[in-house]
Amino acid sequence: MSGTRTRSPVSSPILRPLLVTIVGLIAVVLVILAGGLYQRSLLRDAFARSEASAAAQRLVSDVLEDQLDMETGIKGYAATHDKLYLSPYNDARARIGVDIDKLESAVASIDPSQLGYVRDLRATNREWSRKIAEPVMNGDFQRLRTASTHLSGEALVDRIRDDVAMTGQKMESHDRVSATETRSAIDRALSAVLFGVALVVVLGMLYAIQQARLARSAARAKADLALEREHAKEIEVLYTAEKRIATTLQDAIAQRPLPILPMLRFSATYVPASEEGNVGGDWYDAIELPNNRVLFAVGDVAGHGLGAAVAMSRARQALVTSAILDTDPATVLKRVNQELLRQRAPMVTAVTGYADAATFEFVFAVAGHPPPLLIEPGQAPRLLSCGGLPLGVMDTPEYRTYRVQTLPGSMLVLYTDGAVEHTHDVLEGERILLAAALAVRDGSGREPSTAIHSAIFAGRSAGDDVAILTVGFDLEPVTGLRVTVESAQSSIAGNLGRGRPPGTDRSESQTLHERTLS
Amino acid sequence: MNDNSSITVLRLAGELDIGRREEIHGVFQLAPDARRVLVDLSEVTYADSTTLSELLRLRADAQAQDARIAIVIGSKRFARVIEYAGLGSAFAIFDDRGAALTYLAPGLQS
Repeated sequence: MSGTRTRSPVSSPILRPLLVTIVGLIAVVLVILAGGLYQRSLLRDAFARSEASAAAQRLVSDVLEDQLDMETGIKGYAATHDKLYLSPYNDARARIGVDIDKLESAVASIDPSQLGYVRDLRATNREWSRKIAEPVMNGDFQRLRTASTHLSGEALVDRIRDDVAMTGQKMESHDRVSATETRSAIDRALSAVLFGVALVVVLGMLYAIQQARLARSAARAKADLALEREHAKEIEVLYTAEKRIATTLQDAIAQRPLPILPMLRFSATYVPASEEGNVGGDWYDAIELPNNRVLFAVGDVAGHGLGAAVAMSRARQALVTSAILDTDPATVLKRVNQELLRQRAPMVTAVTGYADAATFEFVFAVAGHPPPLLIEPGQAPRLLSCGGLPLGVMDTPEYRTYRVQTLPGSMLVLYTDGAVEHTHDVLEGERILLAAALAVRDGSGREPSTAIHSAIFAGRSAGDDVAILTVGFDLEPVTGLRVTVESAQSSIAGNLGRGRPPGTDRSESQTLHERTLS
Repeated sequence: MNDNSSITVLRLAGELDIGRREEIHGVFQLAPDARRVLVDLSEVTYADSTTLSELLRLRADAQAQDARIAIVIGSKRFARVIEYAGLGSAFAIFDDRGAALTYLAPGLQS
C-alpha cells in the first residue's frame, strides 16, 4: 500500500508534462505541415495564374500577328493583284478565329472583366474583314486607295492594336500580381517554418525547465521521506526507550535486592496500581552505604505514569547521593529538597533514615509522608508522631531528625499512602494498618511486608501503588558475627554523632527517646 | 481583588482526588492576586497529593506577595492527612470559618 502511495505522486508529474510536450510537438508539426500544404496550393495557384497570364500574353501576340498577317496579305494582294500574296491573309484568317477564342477563354479564366477588349478585338477584326478585306478580295482593289477607306482600315487595325495592347498589359499586370503573390506565399511559408522552429525551441526549453524542477522536487521529496523515516525511527527509539525506562523502573522496584546483614532484617513489598501499565511514583530503598551504614527510605511522587516514574528515579538518586554526603536524615532531606526544586520536579513525600544496630535506635526524618509504624515485642504497634513538609515545593522547609529508642526484636514499618488511603478514610486506614501490624508482631512466619499487605488488602486490588518496607532488629545477636556487628555498630554510631545538627533536633529526639522508654 | 479590603473565599467539598485535578487546579487559580484568602475545606473528607501540592503552591505564592491564608478543615480524617503531610506547621488551620475570618480580619480596611 505504501509503495503505491509513494510511487503515484512521483510518476504522474513526470509523465504528464512528457505527454503534453509530445502532443505539443506533434501538433506543431501538423500545423507546419498543413501550413506548408496550404502554401503549396497557394504557390501552385500563383504559378498557374502566372503561366496562364503568360499564355494569354502569347495569345495576344498571336492574335496581333494574325491581324497583321491578314492586313499584310490584303495590302499585298491589292497592290499586286497576285493571289500569291494572299497566302498570309488566308493562313491568318484560318487561325485568327481560333486564336481569339483561345484568348477569350484565357482572359475569361484570368480576369473576366477584361473580356470587353477581346470582344471588341473580335468585332473590330470582323468589321475590318467586312469593310476592307472582303471588298479587296472581291476585286475592289481601288478601295484601299480611297482615303476614307484607308483611314478607316488603319483606324480599325489601330483599334485592334489597342485592344491587343490593353489585353496584353492587363495580362502582364496579372502576371506581376501572381509573382507578388508567389513571393508573399514563399515569405509566409518561411515565416511558418521559422515560427514552428521557434515554437519547438521554446517547448523544448519549457520541457527542460520542467524536468529540472521535477528533478529538484523529486530530490526534495526523497529528502523529506528520508527525514520522515528518521523522525519515525527517532520516535520509535524514544517510545522504546520510554517503555524500557518504565519497565526498568518497575523491575528495579519489584526486584531490588535487600541487604543481608547481621542484626538487621529487611522485608519489602511493592504492588503497583491496579490500572494496567500505570507505573506509579512509589518507591522503597534499603541500601548499604560506605562506612557500614544502611539507608532506608520510602517515598511517593505525586501523580502516575512515566513522568512520575522518572521523577521518582531522580528523587531516589538525589536521596542516595545526599545520604552519602550527610549522615543526618534531616539534612539529607534538605539537600534532596534543593535538588528537586532545581529539577522542577513534582511534589515528593518521603521518610528516610538509619537503623542503629549498636543502640537499637531508629533515626529518621519525614517529608510530608505518612508516619512510620513501630512494632515492639509485647507492646501495641503505634504510629510515631513526626512531621515535615513535602519535598520539591518550598524553598526552605524545616526538617527534623527523630531518634526512637527501641528494644531488640523491634521493627519499623515504612509505607506509602496507598496502604492507609485505600478507603479514602485515613483514620480507618490507620486502624487497619495497626491491626495488620499486631498480627505480624504475634508472628505468622511470612515476610512481614507481605503479611501486612495481605492483611490490609486481603487479595483485593488497590487503586493506588502500595510500597511497604520493614526494618527490624534481630531478637538474639548471632554469636559468630559479633565482631563484625560491633565494628558496624561503632561506625554507625560515630557517623550519627558527627552528622547530628545542633539545636532542637537533640531535644526533640530526647523527648521521643524518653517517651519510648516510659 | 488585589487589595486589603476584602477576603477571598475558595471552597471545595467532598473527596478531592486526582480525578478532579482540573477542577481543583481551577479553583486555586481563581484569585491569583488576593491578599487575604480563606480556603474552606470544611466539607472535604479526603484529599490526595493533588490538593496538598496546590495548597503548598498557594502558600508559596502568598509568601511572595505577603498575603495571608487561613484553612478551614472540618473532617478529622482530612485533618489527619494534613497533619502527616506536614501542612499543620505551614498553614493557619481552623475548625470553623468564624475563627479563620477572625484570623484574617486584622488590618482589614472597610
